Amino acid sequence: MPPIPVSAWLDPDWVRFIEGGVSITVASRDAANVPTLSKGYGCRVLDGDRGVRILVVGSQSMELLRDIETGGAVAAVFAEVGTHRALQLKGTDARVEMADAEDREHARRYCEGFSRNLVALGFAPGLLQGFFEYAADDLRVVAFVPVEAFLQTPGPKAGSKIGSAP
Amino acid sequence: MSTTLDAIRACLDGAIPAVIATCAPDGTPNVAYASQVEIVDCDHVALSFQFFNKTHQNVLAHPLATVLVIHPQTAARYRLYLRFERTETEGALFQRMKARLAGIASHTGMSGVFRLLGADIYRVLRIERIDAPERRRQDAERNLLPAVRLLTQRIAAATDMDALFEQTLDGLDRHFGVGHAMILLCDRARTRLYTVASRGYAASGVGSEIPFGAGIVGVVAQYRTSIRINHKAAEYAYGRAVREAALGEGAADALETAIPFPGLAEPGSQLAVPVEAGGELLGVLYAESAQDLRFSHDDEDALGAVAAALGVVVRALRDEAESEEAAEASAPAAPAADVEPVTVRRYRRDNSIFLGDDYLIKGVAGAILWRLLSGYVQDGRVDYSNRELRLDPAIGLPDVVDNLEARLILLAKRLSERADWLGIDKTGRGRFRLRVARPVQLVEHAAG
Repeated sequence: MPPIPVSAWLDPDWVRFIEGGVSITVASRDAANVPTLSKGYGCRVLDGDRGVRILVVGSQSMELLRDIETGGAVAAVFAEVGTHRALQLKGTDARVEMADAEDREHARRYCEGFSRNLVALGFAPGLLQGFFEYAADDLRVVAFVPVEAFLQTPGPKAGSKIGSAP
Repeated sequence: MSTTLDAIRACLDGAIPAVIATCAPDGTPNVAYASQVEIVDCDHVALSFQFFNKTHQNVLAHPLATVLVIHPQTAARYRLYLRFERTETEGALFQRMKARLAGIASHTGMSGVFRLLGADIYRVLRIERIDAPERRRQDAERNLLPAVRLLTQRIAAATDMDALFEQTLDGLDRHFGVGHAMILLCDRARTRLYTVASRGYAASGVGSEIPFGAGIVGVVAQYRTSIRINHKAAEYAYGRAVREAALGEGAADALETAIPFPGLAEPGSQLAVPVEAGGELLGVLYAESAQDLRFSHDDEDALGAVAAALGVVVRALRDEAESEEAAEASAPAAPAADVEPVTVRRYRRDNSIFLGDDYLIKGVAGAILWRLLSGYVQDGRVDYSNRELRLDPAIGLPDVVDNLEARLILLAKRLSERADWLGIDKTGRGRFRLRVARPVQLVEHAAG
């Protein structure tokens, strides 16, 4: 059965949300179910059944990339800093790819947008500088077709499923 | 050398939320934000458990978790590999986290949503620094050791309790830049604290009271643990705490509410540490600021060291004041005869004292003043020792370890704020003199 595109079941508002200047964290686990995680540097939602591409910095994400290559299990949380609005996507077919030119451009724009949001919230300049420093050729892509989405905004509905591939 | 929890504690101050990854038994990973990561000891942390969410469910079934934290100044990243051990739902750690969470919740508009169900305790298996590039160290980072040294030296040098309190508050201001602070001492028999000294407020609030368990100061006294709140937390504000405590209390032993607590109306940061010595809780040292995120882990440690020194000296001076030295005899100055006498009233029910129509104080301090004024009116007596007051059944001190010396300081300060004709002056170790500059008429009310 071919994978079902995320746009077929996830609200377009949420699609825009995960592509925007929100904080991103990606997690996987090894064969012994030891979890690991790393920060994301942008997320692209592609047309059709091509799924999502989350950018990570390879040298910061060695365990994560190893676990994804061997197991394919992935969870990614997207959170708007300052409002706690958050969404988690899960997938089972994740793979690691090199970043292409479009991915690198997306990461660059993501860093601009996210740092603008952080500046507006009063975060320290040193933090911003440190956080957004990476070598462009160090970017890797965690690509997967999401099968489930969960609301992560704190509250009574936190953790509830807001969509899944039919 | 492996990274220690102490070395990364700035990452746990909540400026940048931590993220936690767990795994279900079927191998499905989960990743979620953690509102709070608290250091328990050198190899344990506690995470706030607020909802019965996937993270909690996962670690109950499969205890391994990994947390990602980011340094708020340098953006250095660390992964903490953890093993879940247990959930605590009461006690000092739980209370400390509950108070901090209240600040986090109100700061993020989550009051009423964030509620601490438990403190999930994890063993730290390993801490891994993620990004290799050495970041610039922040030159602006404060080193608090010189301030601790200066202030503890001033505390150790104090020879009477009044000066001790002044030195402490002045030192907090000068060496730590803490402009709003107060010292509260325990009335253990009545499980409450009274303000004995303060700095940085329009009114001193000396004599105001707060029950154990109420507000940040009351919780610190009850659980004997320090609490640091980084944002406004209405639940821990004094006004609400006292209102709630006063409602749940009988009238006979009512709280002192006529003297308002001196604290800031809406502090952005609060830090309270217990003052202890010899295993005994003596009081609470409290600092606050209008600014959010004013106090760090280091400030909490520094204030803890200051409180430890303060406790030892409070206890020594209290005990010393119980052993009186020889009285220096002197005749009291007689009040001018042509001055209008002042009526001083006592309401026996709660020992509240009024000078003319103005409320002064009640409780133990009220009973002490009444005893002194009675002696003055009957025998013209003005010189007293702490010891004889301690033994006087008319005063009814709550218990043997009650800090009589501190009560006298409170009374003397309250008098200096409310009356220019009546005062108490220290005349030696464990001795003091009543100063009366106007004729006095005493009126006692049995009821009301």
